[in-house]
Amino acid sequence: MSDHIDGPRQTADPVSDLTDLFAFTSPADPKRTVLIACVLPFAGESALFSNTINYALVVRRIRQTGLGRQAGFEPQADEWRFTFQFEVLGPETQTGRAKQTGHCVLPGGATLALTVGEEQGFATKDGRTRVFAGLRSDPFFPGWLPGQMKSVPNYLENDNVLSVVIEFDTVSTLAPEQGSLYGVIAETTPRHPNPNSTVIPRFDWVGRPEQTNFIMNQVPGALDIRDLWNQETPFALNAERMPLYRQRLTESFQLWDKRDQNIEWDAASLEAHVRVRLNDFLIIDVAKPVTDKSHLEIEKSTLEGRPYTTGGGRTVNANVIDILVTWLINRDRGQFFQGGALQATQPGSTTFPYVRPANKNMLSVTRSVELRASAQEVWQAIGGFGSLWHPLVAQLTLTGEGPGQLRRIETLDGKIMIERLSERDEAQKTYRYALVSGIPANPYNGALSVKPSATGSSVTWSVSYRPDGQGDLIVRLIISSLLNAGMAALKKRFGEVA
Amino acid sequence: MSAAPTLIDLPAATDGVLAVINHESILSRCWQTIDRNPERLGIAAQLIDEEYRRSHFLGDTGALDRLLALSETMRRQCAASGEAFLLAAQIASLVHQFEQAKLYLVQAKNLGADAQSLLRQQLSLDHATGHHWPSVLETRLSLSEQTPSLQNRVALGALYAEIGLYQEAENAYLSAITQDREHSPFSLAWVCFQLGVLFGETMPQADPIAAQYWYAQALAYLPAYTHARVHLAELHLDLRQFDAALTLLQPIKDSSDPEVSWRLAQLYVQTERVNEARYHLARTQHIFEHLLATHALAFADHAVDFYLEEGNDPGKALQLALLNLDNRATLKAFLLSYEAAKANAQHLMAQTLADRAAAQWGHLPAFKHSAVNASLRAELNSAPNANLQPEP
Repeated sequence: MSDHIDGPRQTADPVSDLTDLFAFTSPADPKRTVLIACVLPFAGESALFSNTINYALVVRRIRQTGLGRQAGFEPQADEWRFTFQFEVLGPETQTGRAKQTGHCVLPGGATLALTVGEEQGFATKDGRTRVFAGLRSDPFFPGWLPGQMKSVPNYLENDNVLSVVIEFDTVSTLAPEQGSLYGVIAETTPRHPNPNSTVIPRFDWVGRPEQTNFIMNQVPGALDIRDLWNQETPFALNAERMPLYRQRLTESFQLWDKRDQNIEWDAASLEAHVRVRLNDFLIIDVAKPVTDKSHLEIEKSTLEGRPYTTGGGRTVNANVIDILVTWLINRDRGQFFQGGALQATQPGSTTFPYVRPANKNMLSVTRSVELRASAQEVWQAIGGFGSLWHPLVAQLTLTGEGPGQLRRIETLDGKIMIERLSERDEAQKTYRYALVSGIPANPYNGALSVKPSATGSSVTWSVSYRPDGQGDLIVRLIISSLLNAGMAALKKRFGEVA
Repeated sequence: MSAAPTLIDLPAATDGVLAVINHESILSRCWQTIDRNPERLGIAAQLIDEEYRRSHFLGDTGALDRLLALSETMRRQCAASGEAFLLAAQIASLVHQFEQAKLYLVQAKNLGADAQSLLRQQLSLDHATGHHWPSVLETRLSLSEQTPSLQNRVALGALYAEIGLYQEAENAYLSAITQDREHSPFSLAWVCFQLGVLFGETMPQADPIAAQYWYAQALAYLPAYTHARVHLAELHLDLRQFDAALTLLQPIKDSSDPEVSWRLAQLYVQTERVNEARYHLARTQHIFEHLLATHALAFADHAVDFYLEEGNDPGKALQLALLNLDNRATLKAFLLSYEAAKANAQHLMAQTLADRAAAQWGHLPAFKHSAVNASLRAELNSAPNANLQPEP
């Protein structure tokens, strides 16, 4: 899942674990470029940055070295580095909890002071550069379990991460008149490296999403080399270890290519693809448009031997998993592999800081009942997303099929609710869904499951939600009434175990 | 052997206060997620790590209840998943339910759990129970060479310490600190704590100065490290440095870890503050009894020491020591049972335990330095062969 938890060391020290990197042209001002890096998967509401880690976003000009089977990109020497550093927690104030402060070291060495969590961010006097750091809703939305290629709902739903955001004036910062194609990486390194140590001073780095988890770690039985990769120097990988990485990427790409039974990548194009991916940086052309669809377009066009037409990059809302999976499996020559995740918990915004505020804790209502009937019999009656069994439902219509299917429910008192199917598992007798409209809650996720029990079966119906537009008392009452009526109807129909 | 503590370049780590805040934030977030999606085993794995941290570093004994509840949920919700049973085995091992852990491992294997993960869990189980130690040592050495992570090196160091190869243990711990790239204060504090235990408790001739140094380093990394506070306070008590001991214990006086109250009771006894001593002694006893009622195997060994000393119930101590020995026949468990038998004037039982210990562990250097061996030598006027070859 992008770069989340991509190796044992990241699990041991999640505050150094980079989860994502984004690079795009600001939708609010096309003259400005935005870079965002996220760390600390599963961050809770009190999460903070480490005081001894550099959180750096690094840009290098790159050069396209060939097209088609000679495809490749080469980083140049000139580099722009934005390094965020944070301090230990200050004393608590009378108005509330202590705030974490820090600064961003800009290219050229100037520093820009900041306070974590300040929504407006902090700008240089000339307004050329603006920065933000703080807890945000995790913008990533994976909808595939890679091992089984199983489509699933966003399994990072409601998760949060710490984000660092930098927005700068493109022309005065990067001088794109000398070449507008750039490679971007993010890295976490020790702020105070031991000068006597021979150890590579790096915890994690990320270029394109899924280089480690979906690609390097998907060869069955192969050694986990993600830790090794994460310690490499970006833009200058160790030459001795290149054969190892080349072999791993080749094996992985071959496995991905075989998934649809069609081989799209011949040996020479596979070799070119590996060469392009080994230069692992997010490629962006700041002179061309960057959209939600343009992720990997520069690499793909280059590999196909044609000029690229977009700015590539990666926007916050880019569906990078489905774009990558489709490219790996059928080289964009067949169906688009749409996974079960359609968007992040909170899609990115078009204004600074582009990533949304952290998700608050969800509330939940759960009801269970033990029934005399078998799980199969009960599931038969209520397991369809379009099953009409609830006593408060007057009419129900379905649109579409599979994950994403919509159901329009009209209740006895004339209210309309629309819900979207997220996932349905016939074998496990369970389905999940999300509310689109009709109840003052957002997000609102429901799950219904039937399990066999010693006396027959048990049904569990749970809803997790956050009130939106009404107080929790009202919202909880609406949801509880819905669930209670459903459970009561099941007891009446199938008989309750005392 | 020398700790040479001043020559060691200790690496920087994230501030311990920040790390605890982040740990708590992740823990609470993961519980909310697992409550909604109990089948998310990746979150469950993260929760096990975080709850272990709560238990080991922050002295929160409630973590064990939460882990067992998590295990039960996973086994119910993911009954066909080998990974779920692998995690259940990990939890069972953490609460010292080793027989249960073995059963879960078998189920995990039958359900197709990852072979490498099964081997790792089996290794931890064998290590904890003292089974197949020559092959455990071989594997630990090989792992430490192949993947010289802090975790692998500390596990190797701990095994060396148990065997009685103290210099090797120290080297393994020091290499874990100085050669790895860990940045988590939890990990680095853990190694420092292990060095403190090595110098303060494991070695036959303790080096309290070195032990103090390492416990203090553990606390420098992680001020909230409950066990390090307790162990360092114990050293201060031995030196009658009561203010220093109180400074360490006072901030954690409400901890659910019984050793905190126990150490406070000892402090107040020595400073003749009778009421406080009585209160903390009663509190210690209450916590131990509660924990033994719910997690007997996890706390049996700790409780033996208490009931042999201030707890003043040698009969109960012996009962718990034998329970612990039955659960894992390690040399340490034999020594504890032997002490408890002697304290109950069960000389025949003590002799039998000493003989069994000699038969099973007599070839280890650690046995040579043990009280059991001294007793055997005194009684039999002969010492077991102290070479490193396992008994056939």
